[in-house]
Amino acid sequence: MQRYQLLLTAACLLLGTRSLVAAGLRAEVDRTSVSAGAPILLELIVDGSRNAEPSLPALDDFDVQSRGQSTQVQMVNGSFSSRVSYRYLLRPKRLGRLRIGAASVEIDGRRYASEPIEVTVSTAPQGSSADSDVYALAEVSTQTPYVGEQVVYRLQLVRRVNFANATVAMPSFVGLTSQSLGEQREFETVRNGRRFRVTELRLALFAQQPGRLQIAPASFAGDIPMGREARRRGRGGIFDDPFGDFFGQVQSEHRVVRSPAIDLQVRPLPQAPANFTGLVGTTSMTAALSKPTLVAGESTTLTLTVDTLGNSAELAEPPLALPEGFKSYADKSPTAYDTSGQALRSRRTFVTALVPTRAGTFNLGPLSLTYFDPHTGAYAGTEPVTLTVDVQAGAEGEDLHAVGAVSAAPQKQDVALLGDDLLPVYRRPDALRLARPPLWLRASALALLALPPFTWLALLLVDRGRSVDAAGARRRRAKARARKQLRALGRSTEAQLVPSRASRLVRDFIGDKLGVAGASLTPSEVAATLREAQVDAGVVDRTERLLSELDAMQYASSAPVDAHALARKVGNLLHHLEAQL
Amino acid sequence: MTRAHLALPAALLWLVATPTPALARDQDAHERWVQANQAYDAGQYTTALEGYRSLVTDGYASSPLYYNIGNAELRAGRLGAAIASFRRSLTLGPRNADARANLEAARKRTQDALAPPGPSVTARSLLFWHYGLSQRELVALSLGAYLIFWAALLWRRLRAGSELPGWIAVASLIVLVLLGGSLLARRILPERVAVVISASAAAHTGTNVDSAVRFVLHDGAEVRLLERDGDWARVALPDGQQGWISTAELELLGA
Repeated sequence: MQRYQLLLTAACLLLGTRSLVAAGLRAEVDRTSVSAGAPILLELIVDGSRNAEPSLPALDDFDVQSRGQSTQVQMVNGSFSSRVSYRYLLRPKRLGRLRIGAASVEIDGRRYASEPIEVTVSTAPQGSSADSDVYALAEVSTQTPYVGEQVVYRLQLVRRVNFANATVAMPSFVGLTSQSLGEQREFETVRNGRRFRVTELRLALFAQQPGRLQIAPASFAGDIPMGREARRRGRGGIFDDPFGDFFGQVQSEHRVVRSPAIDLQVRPLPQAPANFTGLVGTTSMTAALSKPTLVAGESTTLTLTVDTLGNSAELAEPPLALPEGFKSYADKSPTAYDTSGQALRSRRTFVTALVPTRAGTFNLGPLSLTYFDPHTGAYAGTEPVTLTVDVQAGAEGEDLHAVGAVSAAPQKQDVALLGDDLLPVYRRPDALRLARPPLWLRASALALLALPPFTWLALLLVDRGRSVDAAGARRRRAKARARKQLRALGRSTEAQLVPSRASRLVRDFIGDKLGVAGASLTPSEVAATLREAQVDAGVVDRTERLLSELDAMQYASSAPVDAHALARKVGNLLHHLEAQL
Repeated sequence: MTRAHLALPAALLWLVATPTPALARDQDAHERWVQANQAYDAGQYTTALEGYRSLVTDGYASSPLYYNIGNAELRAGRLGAAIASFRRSLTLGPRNADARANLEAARKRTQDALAPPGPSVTARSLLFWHYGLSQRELVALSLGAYLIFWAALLWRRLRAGSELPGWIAVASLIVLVLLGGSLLARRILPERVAVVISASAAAHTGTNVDSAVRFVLHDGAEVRLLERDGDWARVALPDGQQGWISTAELELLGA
């Protein structure tokens, strides 16, 4: 009996320990309101079973991607309980109210279903809705500033979740110069009953020109952990759920949030008085002398301190109407900025060494600056300051020179870049050009490219033709050349030269016809050449005899020569040779 | 003078006498140019951009046109698109100092500390003609060297005995090879750059959004473009790191 009771108790315990947590299925999403393109993390949590896999509902309005699963097993008071989380990333396909239907699972023969979930998908830009977990804000101190008036620009990243690896892309302040107002600030705020953490950047902007300007959106980019528990870790809630995700990996979503663009309508300054210094912003000035009483020839330092609610870096040194006999030497004029307050304050200090050269009591001033007050919309002047200098006479006979620790030349300072803007656009009409030249130009270029090589090739062919046909040309020219020489021979008045010319004529004619150097041949060689050319034997003999006679006339005979008769004889022979060659 | 010698001067005369550039004929393009500039002056940068881009669509491409597009993009707050346009302007007109100045002004506004891809100082010095002359200038100079080369050959053929035309031919041939090589290099080895045009662009390890993000670039970042695969482009940082970025977030130059 005792053993039976023990067995029964053990059985009850086993049955009892099978599940302390009630079996069930629930569905959770990380958010119910998203903008277009942003994903939703769906978690199906199955309690009471490690093997039952839930069936997804119809999710036609979403693209579904599995993100894996995680299992937690916990022992509480000796009892085991298990929980399995199935994660899915849902990307909405359309705008509007979408429904995530009920998922279902079967555990120990019993069917369980989750509650359906409604989500809203809107077109609002990410980060702009006050209901978002992270968004960006931008605001300015005034949207209708004057030219040169300080505009405080505040950019805030507002979040209630972790925003890791955050980076910021500042807008391009076109038409504006900018100056940082200190380091970024971190603080907490409550909006709509929810606590947010805020990172704020502040800049002082100065419009350079009147008209409409737009400050483009700034953007923050960072990674947001996915999943309720992981997102809550940003607020320290890891112990909220006993089944916290101890083993699961934290997925993160890269998010970019943008601040809204801000339009400024910059007003031009009214007509300025002649003595306007260019300062825009409430200004005050003080003046002081290092030595109000001094001896002629000594120096005293005049310090003008100009405080402006704005940027006074551009302020020129105020003109000083000095009494006669005063020499002045301007020293450095540094600019100091104070960014600790809500706006930019600048202090400009003008230091001038004054050296009076004669005794007397002199008034410097009244010194005042004219500035533009954007609050009143009018020009105003600083309170006039008059300084009195009492100059004692120096020792008699002493030359009054401007000596002492006076800077002879103003100390130079780096040129500060006050603003920067783009160079203007091009307007000239010839700035436009087609990417591809027109057809006529391309055709002209091709013709131009082809012309030189064709010309060169043509010349090459012509020259070759001439060299190949040289012998033929010579042969063709032989008769005309011989005729010309024959006419000259007949008219020759130098009788003693006629035989040699006649001999040369015959030889050249034969040489041109046969392509040989006829002038160097003897009569017998000429005869042999003619026989090789199959000239008639009678003609060959006549040629040989004539050449011999002509040689005899040249070298042996002293008898007068009848040029005309000789020419006729030679002509007759050439006629026969022409017929044979 | 033979007929062949008369052909070259005749061709040049015809070329000079041929009608003036396209703008003189394309009045509509000129009007759009003026209207776009007026819109720019009035601060209507989107309208100005529409006008400028319509000229690009119609086949116009010049350094001043892309410079103006860059200005309008920058005024409209699109830093990356502006940088890409200024780079295009410098490609068409490498000595456009205004484009270079505005490009530097735009680069100062970028967020990422990246050295923009480009040739080294040594390469620029050694290959000064390749990086200092526009495509049109290279073509014109190549044509000139080509004509001088052939003229020297013709001169040598007609006046044998002088060495000068031979030297001129050699010199012009060398110039022609260098200029022609530059044109060829621009054709087959263009500088491939990608400019980020979105506020931020994640570079993934693979061509899908679910792959791990290796690094993030921001508007206006200029990186080397290595290859394209559908809607993705592989880019490289100066230190050699690479990643895939969606082409929707980039403007590709030379691709």
